[in-house]
Amino acid sequence: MRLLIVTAMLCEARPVMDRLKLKGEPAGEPFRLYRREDVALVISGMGKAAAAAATAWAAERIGREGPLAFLNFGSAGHGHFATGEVFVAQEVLDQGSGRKWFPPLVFDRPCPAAPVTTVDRIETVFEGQALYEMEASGFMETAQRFTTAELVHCVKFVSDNSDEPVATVDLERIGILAEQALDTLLAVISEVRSLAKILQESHPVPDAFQDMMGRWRFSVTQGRQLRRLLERWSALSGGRPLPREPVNGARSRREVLKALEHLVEREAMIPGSHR
Amino acid sequence: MIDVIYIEAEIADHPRTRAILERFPKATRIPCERYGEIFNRKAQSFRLQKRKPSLILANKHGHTVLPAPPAYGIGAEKNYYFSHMLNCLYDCRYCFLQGMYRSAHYVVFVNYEDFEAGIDEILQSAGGEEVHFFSGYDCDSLAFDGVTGFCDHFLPVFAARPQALLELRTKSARLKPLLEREPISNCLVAYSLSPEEVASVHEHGAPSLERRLDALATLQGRGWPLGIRLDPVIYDPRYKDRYRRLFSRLFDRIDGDKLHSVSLGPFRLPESFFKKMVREYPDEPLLAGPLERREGMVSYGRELEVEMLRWIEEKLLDHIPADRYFPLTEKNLPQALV
Repeated sequence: MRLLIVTAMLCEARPVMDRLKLKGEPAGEPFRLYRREDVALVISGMGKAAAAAATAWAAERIGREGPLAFLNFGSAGHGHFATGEVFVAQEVLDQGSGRKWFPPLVFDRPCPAAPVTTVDRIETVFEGQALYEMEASGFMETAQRFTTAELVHCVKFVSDNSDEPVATVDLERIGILAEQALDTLLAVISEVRSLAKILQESHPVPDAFQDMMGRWRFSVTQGRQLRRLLERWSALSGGRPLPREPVNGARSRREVLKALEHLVEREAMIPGSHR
Repeated sequence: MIDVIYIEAEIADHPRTRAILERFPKATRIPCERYGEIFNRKAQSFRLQKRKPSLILANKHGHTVLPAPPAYGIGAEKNYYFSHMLNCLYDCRYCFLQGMYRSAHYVVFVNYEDFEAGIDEILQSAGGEEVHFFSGYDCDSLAFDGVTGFCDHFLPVFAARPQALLELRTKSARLKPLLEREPISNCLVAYSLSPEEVASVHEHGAPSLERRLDALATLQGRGWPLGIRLDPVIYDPRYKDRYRRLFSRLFDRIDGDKLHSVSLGPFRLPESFFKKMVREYPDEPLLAGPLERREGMVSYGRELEVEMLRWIEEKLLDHIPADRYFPLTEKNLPQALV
């Protein structure tokens, strides 16, 4: 599993980078990317278009093997929530288009949930219960193209409200609030990791797959057939290694698939193979 | 149990919505316009959502009662189904709902009165002919009854309409809504049963076979009409032993002569549902078994299927009168039920 964290500003990203010991990749690319092992962080800049572009660019950079999870972390304004309070988005509304996303909250939340409204300009008049910010809708729209919705979430901390208007908040203050919100973010990361792990463990690449693909140079369609046959073998045999002889005797890709299918169908009729 | 509830604006003030919300005072409430905004979105994982499904309270628009799939009957010519709920509390690995829906959230349509109107419309057009209504097509009829109050509303509706028969299809052992009233002759409680080995492996979260047998015995003792649904039949090389033991246990507890109906159907799925289920559960042995594609459906090979069904049918008919037996015919088999 790989996790991509998207923040708008360096001051929001800094505490995450420090805590997770992320290292910056060389400058000169469209966005700054920081990585360590399976976690990456990209700084998008302000606005939903920038968030969408950075999410797509970074997702391609970190590769698509195994499940990808995405978190948007950043500041937001609210009418009366206290500064420093942290929320996970229950709904993201793009104010410009009216489009909405409802991130599936299928994990134990370490913080309350709240609606998030993405606006095009900094908002100073807060209506209703929503948190106002400028990136979430662009992030959601893009991230959900790369992975399942359960692995895409927004974590927002309140940086300004009616008592502390945005004009009085500087970048240093946002950095301090981001630092305070970090434990909640890490708890959400842990939950999302657990979900991703379920997908990863249930969709393993069968042991023999890469080896056979390399050896026999299957077409894309044949590769899909091969993978499903190997998955079936694994499910039915309880992970027993694939007998090599019938497949080794094959003289063509079609014969390999045929031999494999025969093995699987035979296994399917054996007592115990269905648990 | 329910942590998040989505509420359609249109039914936010419906008395049934308020009653359901009162049962979950700590749940996060999220307003929405239409349930499809959440339920029908692309890129959702049924498997992940099944770990912690949310509840969606919605209004059912359009046709509330629909013709049942062909071959679905248990004795009447006219067969309809209605779904006050989409999705099921249980997580049976063979269930077609996993292939049909993108989301595992529970949708409850709270406008029961519109379902009632739909039922009356069908009955009026039937001109006095018997009509069967199935309530457990998209959900388990009883499993969520403590929340939905389905029985409290619909059992009196059917008690007052003797021309109709209601089938409650279930695996639930929660009998309170049935035992607190007298049996209703045109309300049939139909239990889905599988051999113990199949139930314990594939019917996650459902009451054990023993608890279902207890429920059946209790209900028969109280005079409720009962049905048995041996559907879907799952292949295992030891299926004969398994069904022999199942029938022995079942007919030790209940009187086969008093059953309203018994139906029997093989494991089968529309191909598109099967593909989606394989994507969700590539590691599932059930979906890796000896299955074939036939006319848009995925099922066991015809020879294997016929062999299993014939053998089970023969043993079954040792215990029940032939006129209570309703095999799902080979043509136009509907999807597996709960």
